[in-house]
Parts: sequence; C-alpha cells; structure tokens
Amino acid sequence: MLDVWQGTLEFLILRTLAWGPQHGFGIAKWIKTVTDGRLQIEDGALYPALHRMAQKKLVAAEWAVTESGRRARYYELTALGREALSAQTTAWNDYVGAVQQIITASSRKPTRSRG
Amino acid sequence: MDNIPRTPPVWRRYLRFWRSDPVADVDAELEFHLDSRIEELIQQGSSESDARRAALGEFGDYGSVRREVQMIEQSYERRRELTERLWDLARDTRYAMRSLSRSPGLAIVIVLTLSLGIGLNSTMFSLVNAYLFRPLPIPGAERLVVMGNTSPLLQQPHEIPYRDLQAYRELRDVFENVTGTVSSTESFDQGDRTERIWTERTLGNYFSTLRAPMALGSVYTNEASAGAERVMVVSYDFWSRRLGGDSSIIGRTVRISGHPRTVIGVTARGFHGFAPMIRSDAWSPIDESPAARRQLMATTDGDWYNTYGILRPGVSIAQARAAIRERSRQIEQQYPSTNKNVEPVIVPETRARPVITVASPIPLMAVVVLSLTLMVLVVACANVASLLLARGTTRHREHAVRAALGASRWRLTRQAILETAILSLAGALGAAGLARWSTAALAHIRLATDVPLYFDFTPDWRVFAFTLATALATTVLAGLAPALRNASAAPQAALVAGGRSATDRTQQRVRSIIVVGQIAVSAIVVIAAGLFARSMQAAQNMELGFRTDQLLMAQFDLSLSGYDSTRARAFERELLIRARALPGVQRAALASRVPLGYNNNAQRVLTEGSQRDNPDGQYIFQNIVSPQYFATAGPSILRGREFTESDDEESPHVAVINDAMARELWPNQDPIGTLFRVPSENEELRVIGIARNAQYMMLGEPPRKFFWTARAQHPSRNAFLEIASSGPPESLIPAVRRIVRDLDPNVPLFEVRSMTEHLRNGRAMFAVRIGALFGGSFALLALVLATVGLYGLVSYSVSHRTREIGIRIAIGATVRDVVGLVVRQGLTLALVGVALGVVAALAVTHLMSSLLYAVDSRDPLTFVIGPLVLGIVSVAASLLPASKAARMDPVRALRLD
Repeated sequence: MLDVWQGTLEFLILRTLAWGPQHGFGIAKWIKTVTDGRLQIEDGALYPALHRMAQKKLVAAEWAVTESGRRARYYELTALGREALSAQTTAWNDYVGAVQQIITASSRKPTRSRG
Repeated sequence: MDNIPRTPPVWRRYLRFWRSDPVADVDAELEFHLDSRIEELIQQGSSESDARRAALGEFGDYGSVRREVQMIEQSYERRRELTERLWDLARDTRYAMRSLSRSPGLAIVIVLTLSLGIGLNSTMFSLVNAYLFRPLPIPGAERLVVMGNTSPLLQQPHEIPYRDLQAYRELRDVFENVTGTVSSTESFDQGDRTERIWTERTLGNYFSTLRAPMALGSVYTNEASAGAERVMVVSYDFWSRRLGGDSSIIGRTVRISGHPRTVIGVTARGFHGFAPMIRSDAWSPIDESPAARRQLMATTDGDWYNTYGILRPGVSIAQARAAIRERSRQIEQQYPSTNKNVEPVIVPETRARPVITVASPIPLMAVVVLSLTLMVLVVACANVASLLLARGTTRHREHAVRAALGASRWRLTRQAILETAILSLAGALGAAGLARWSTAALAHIRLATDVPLYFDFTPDWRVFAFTLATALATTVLAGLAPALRNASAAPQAALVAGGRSATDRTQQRVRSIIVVGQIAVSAIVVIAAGLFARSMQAAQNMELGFRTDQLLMAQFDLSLSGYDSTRARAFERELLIRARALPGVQRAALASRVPLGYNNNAQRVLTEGSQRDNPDGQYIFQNIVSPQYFATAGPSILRGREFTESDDEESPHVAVINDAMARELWPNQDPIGTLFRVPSENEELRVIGIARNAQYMMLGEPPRKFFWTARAQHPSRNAFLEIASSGPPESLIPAVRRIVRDLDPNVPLFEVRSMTEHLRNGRAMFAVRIGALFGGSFALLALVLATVGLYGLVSYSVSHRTREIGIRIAIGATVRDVVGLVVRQGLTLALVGVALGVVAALAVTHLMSSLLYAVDSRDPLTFVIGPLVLGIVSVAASLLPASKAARMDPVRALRLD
C-alpha cells in the first residue's frame, strides 16, 4: 500500500476525469478499481482536492441528477485540465522511466571506469 | 459509469435563483458520497449500521473534510462575486462614458459647473484646514496644547508669566513637558549692515518639548539656559538666505543685537517655530541661571510666555484643564496679589491659531464660510440635476426600450448614478486643480506690514479627502433625483407617448422645485454676503477716534543699531526737527505703537481711588509718545493738555489718560492733577490730560482704558514716526527716508506707509475685507448659477409650449402678452424662492452676528436689497426666452410636430 500525496492525487483525478464527467464518489470508486485498492486514499481527501482544482479551473463542476435520480456534483475536465493532464502524464512518464532505469541499472554490477 | 444529462434540469436554476449556497452544496455533495457507498455496501450484503460505519471509516475525518471544503468554497465565492461586480462596473462605466460622449457639450458644462462648485469648497476648506486641522510638523502634534490665562485685569486669554508657567510645568502626570517662548525682533549685524530679524527667546526645554525636526547640528537644552549660554538655533530659511546655506556654520559665532552668539543648529525646512504665522529666523534660550530665575519668579511684570505643553498619552484635555485649574488655585493662594481670580485656559494647539487671544471666533468663521460655499455647491448641483433631468427626458425612449428589454430598475438607476459619478469625479479633478491654484494665489495676499507673516494653505490629504467626499455627495445630490425618475418611468407609457406629455409635466414640476430651491439658497448666500459687505462698509466708516487720513507712518528701532537711551533721545529729537521742517509736513510726532498694529503693551496700574475695589490695580494698555502726538495723530484732548517739550527727563513724570480710564478709575473725581502708580516701572505719574476714547486693538472693540506717557521720560525701543501731511502722505516717503539716512545710514525703516493703507490692508480691516470679498464672490457665483438655472427652465418650458404660444399669437396675443406670460412664470418661481430664502436667512443669520461689525444680523437694508437684486436678475433671466417666444412665427410654430 502506498500513501498518496497531493500532486499525485490531482494527477489521478485528472486521469480519471479524462474518461468523462464524474462525481466524487465515482472518481473514488474508479481509482480503487483501477489500482486494485493498492493506493491508500481516504475518500474524504478527494473533496478538498476537487474543490481546489475547480478553483484553479482544471475541472468544472456542475450539479446534475444521477441515474438513480439523486442530485450529485459532477466534475468535468476543462481545456486547462486537459493540458495539465498531458503535461503531468509526460512528467510522470519521464519520472517513472528514470526510476525504472535506476532500478534496472542497480540490478547489474556497476562497471568500473578505466583511467 | 452513470449516464449524465448534459444540462441540469430547468428547475435547478430556480433552486439557486438567488445565489449558490456553498455550505449547503458541500453538505449535499459529501452526503451523496456517503449514501452511495452505504447503498453499495448494503447491496453487497452488509447491514445498514455496518455499512454506515464502514463508509465513514473509508471516508476519513468527515468533519475536517467538510470544514476544509467549505472554506475553499467560501473564499472562492467571495472572489467570484467581487470579480463579477468589478466586471459589471467596468461594463457600466464603459457604457456611461460612451453615452456621455454622445453629448460632449452637456458633459463639459456639467464638469465645469461642478469644478467651480467643488473647487470653491476645496479652496475654502484648505483655509479652514490650515487654521483648524493641519497639525504642526512635529511628532505628537495631536497632543500639543496651548495655555493662556485670563484675569479680571485682562479678560481675553493672554500669555503666561514665567512663575505660572513653572507651576504648570510641575504637573508631571499631565504634561510630558511644558515650555514657553517670547517673540521679539533683534538685529543681525553683518559688519556695515544691520538687519532686523524675528527671533524667539525660549525656555531651555523648548526643543526637547516640541521635538522640532532639525536639518543640521543640535539643539539647546535646559543646561544652556541654566548656564545662560549664548547659543542660537536658526531656521532653514534664515540659514540659506543669510548664512549662505553653509554647513560649516555650526559652531561659528554671529553677532545678534551687538552680542556674539554661537550657531549650534539649523531646523528642518518648513519648520518656522510656533510664533503663529510668523516666520521665526532664530531661537535662543533665555537666561535661567539661578540668579536670573530668582528674579523671574519674583514678579509677573516681566515677559509673558506663549505657553505650549505636550500632554501625556491618554490624558484628555478636560483632565489637563482640571489639573491646571487646581494648580492655578494653589498659585492664587501663594500669590494672592498677582494671581487673584486668574483662570487658566487650555486648548489644543489647533484651536489656538493664529494666537490664543483671537482664536475663539475662528471655528464659527469656518462654519459660516463652509456653509456658504456648500450652499453655492447646492445651487451648482441643482443646475446639474436640472440638466440631467432634461437629458433624461430626451433619453426617455432609450431607457424605456432598455427597461422593456429586461434591464432592471436598479440597473438603470445605477447606470445613471454612474454617469453622474463620472461627471462628479471629473469635476473633483478640476476642483483639485482649481484649489491648488487658488490657495497659492490666496497665500500671496499680503497684509500691509513688514512682519514676516506667512500663510500656507497648500492642500494636503485632508483637502483631497474633503474634495472627494464633496464629489460623492454631489453625485447623490445631483444624480439621484434624475436617476430615480428615469428608472421609475413606465416603459409602455413612454413608448406609446413617444417620450412626451405626462412625463414632461412631472419633469417640469420637479425642475420648478429645483429652481425654487436654487433661488432660495442663493437668496441666503446673497443676504449673508450683503451683511458682510455692510459690515465692511460700517468698519470703513467707523469712527476710530484718531487721525487716519493724510498721515504717514514709519517705524524704526534704534536698539537694533546699538543706540543707548541717551543717543536714542538725541536721534529722536533731531529727527523730529528735520521732519517738521520738510515741505508738505504739517506736524510730526513719535509713538511707540500705532493703533490697530501688531504689538501692544499693558501695564499694571494702581490708583488711590480704585484701591478699595481693586487692591492690585489693573492692566491698562499704554503708548509712549512725543510732544505734539495728539495734535499730529492721536485722539483729541478733551480736557487738560498733551505732552510738550517741557515734559523732559528732569520734570515730574506725567500721563494722559483716556475718557474710559478717567470714568472708571476716578468715577466721582476730576483725575487731572491726581497721581497713579505703575509698579513695574516703580514710578508715579501725574494726570495732565484726558483724551477721547479710540479703537486701539480691534475694530469695534468696546471703549478700552488707555494711557500715554512721555517718550522723554520713558525710553522705548519701539518707535513710529507719524507725520501729518498737507498733501498725499506717500509723496513724503522719499524725503523721510533721506532725512533718516542723513542722520544715520545704519538705521533701517520699516512699515513705511500711510495710515489709510495700514488700516485698509493691515490686520485691522483684514477679516472684514476678506469676509466681504469671499462673501461677494460666493454670492456672485450663486447668483450666476441660479440665473442660469432659471433661464434654462424658462427656455425649456417655452420650447415645449411652442404650439400653445403659436396659437396665442395666431389668435391675436401681442408681444407684451407673450412676454408677460413667460416672464410671469419665471418671476413666480423667483418670488417663491426668494420668499423662502428670506425666511430661512432670517432664521440663520443671527448665527453669524458675532462676526459682524456694527451691523445687525437682520439689517433691514440688506434684507431688502438682496432679494431685490435676485428679483431683477430673475426678470432678466426670463426676458431672454420671453422675447424669443414673442418673436416666434406662429405659422411655423403650428407646423411643428
């Protein structure tokens, strides 16, 4: 299990919303499903993050009615959010790639440099 | 994934019709989350209570999440609202600007009117600010107080003897410090040249009390006065003007009045000391060495000090007043002979300008002047409101269309207010410019005197705040009525009627009321100005009791040139001989003071007769004069004789007293031949003559006791040569300068001018002249504005009655009839306005009666002439549109529309 920090949470939300508009509960559920519950996120932590992102105009929020007829607040990526997502995806990929390289490199013996 | 409707249902809009509620929204959102999870768990087989527990557990700390989200939402909401409002405002401003620029002529007229109206107020407020509000440039200025004494001997608040000052100084828990200063003139000797400078002789703690800002060097302290050190602090002006702005001056010695003094410091620029409105050149400590102090403490006959104190933080002026009252009672018990019934006076420094003696009427003067200028502004606002109303009519259709299209009333009202606000702010800008210019011009008004008086009326932030506040008030005053009326118009009616008829009549009525109000207010201003003018007239014609025409005066001070009394007497004798020999000179004499001048001297006088009621005598003002003084310049001698050459050093000391002194001190007795004592000079004077009462210190003062002594028996450094001429007195000036130069080129002359000039342009008439000048200009402005208002209304109504007038002419109305018709309308409004104004004036002018000289505040002449002028001007204002109407071609008039 991994703790999730603020920046990551934001990335996860952006990523989730890339599928389409969703309410907070749906986002939480999706993250749990996709990660098989390996990321330790308290559901409550989503909401301050979502509201902050709404203020930063990364997501747009709107009240709508769910299938079951209840009112829920739906979040949707904005153009700005889409940009942020692609930028953060690139950054994550770079990061993950770098870490991956370190991991694979450390499994070999470091070669001693000559001279 | 849920199926999401892209747009929320319509009813949702109404749910949040007013505004979104962030708190409720957050709760709804979080509850939805929990409920969804619980439902899910129940579906998976949990019991409801287990499901709830599990859901809450997964959620984390519900309360803190809720709080955090709410906080985020609330701050967001606030920001959003603000931005929205700013956007609205920006849009409305753009719109207002555009609509104003469609009628630039109107906008310019309105801005100019407001600039004038507001500018006048700002200018007057600058003066009031300089007198009543602006603190001195020292730290803690708001705790600075001025103290004075009143006594049965001298009832107006006056400066304080050293002894009393020292006693007040001991009130350590009330004052941080108390200090005193005496203004005087001294000579600054530069080799061959002698210059008179204005200095202050102060207690040693002067600078430590007032913490005056310094440019260079240091200040003196109590040690300097205790050690009788001959040191001096000079002003920045004096330093740059006379000491070459040389910073190596510190520690150097200059010669002041024949004695060396070491310059130790230069005050910061802009600090001129506290001698009110006089630019002091230098400050030096008085001698407070133990021996000198004993002498200072022994008597109250010596110098009296302008006394300043800094209150301790938190001490109110009332507490300080109580404390010095109590202290004063103790002094009274200790020194009953001098301090019986002495009452201390303590006021904030801003209430003691220009000097504590005459400061009391200043606030009233300020209120009267500002009331008058505000009235002028009201009249100006009325014109602006009238113009806006007229404009509102022409824009009626536009408003009706906008209202019909759904613009809210509030929106339209706001729009109109915004337009007025833009006009007012432009007016305020113009006003600020006007105030800067006019205050600079006012500061250049010079009194006819060589005393270095200065006026600094430069507008500061208070003036700008006042201007802005006035502009805002103007917006409300001039803009609200038109705005409300425009917004309240029923759109259908306006659209159907094409913006005419019914609304026109209401508008006419509103404008008529405005014009009546305008004329009423103008009437008050005109009447107040009339009272000031009558007051000036009365002051000019006032019987002063001494010669005023064909009299030349010239001041000199022989002590500045190092004369001792023997040499001074010889100089004065010779000067009189030569002056009397000049062609065109009828008589010549010397006096230590001129009436209504800048310095006065009172002496404690004891008589045998009055000792019973007044064992300590009383203070009586005195002048020291040469033979022929009364024949030359003075009041006429009623009985007895005046001084002659035989009243010299050797002969018995004699005095002339005035009628008031004779009647009060010798009520049942002929004073001539009797003796009275002047303890401070330790002498006895025999009364040789009684002179008529005159005005000595202030115009319109009640008869004041006064006496004169002979120069030969009382050397005095103050000297005015007074010459009665047969022709214009100014023509003698070159000759007088020449004979003084021949006698001693080192004796400078000051205040060389005719007595008429001294009275007219000196301090005597200053207040009434300024009052009349200001009042006159306010009245003129109010008159012009009201006339324009009336003219505007009458021509407007003529233009709307074109058809009616055309018909009248067509069926045989003569020019006379038409003119009469129109003028009657204007005159009716004017008469109602004037009548209201006169009634209001009758009710309020008594408030200014203490500012008037010898004129009743209900002066009948003023109350007749003022309204008459308004009536005539009103007829003139209606005649112009009337004659235009009469010359109208009925055929064309009827074809219109």
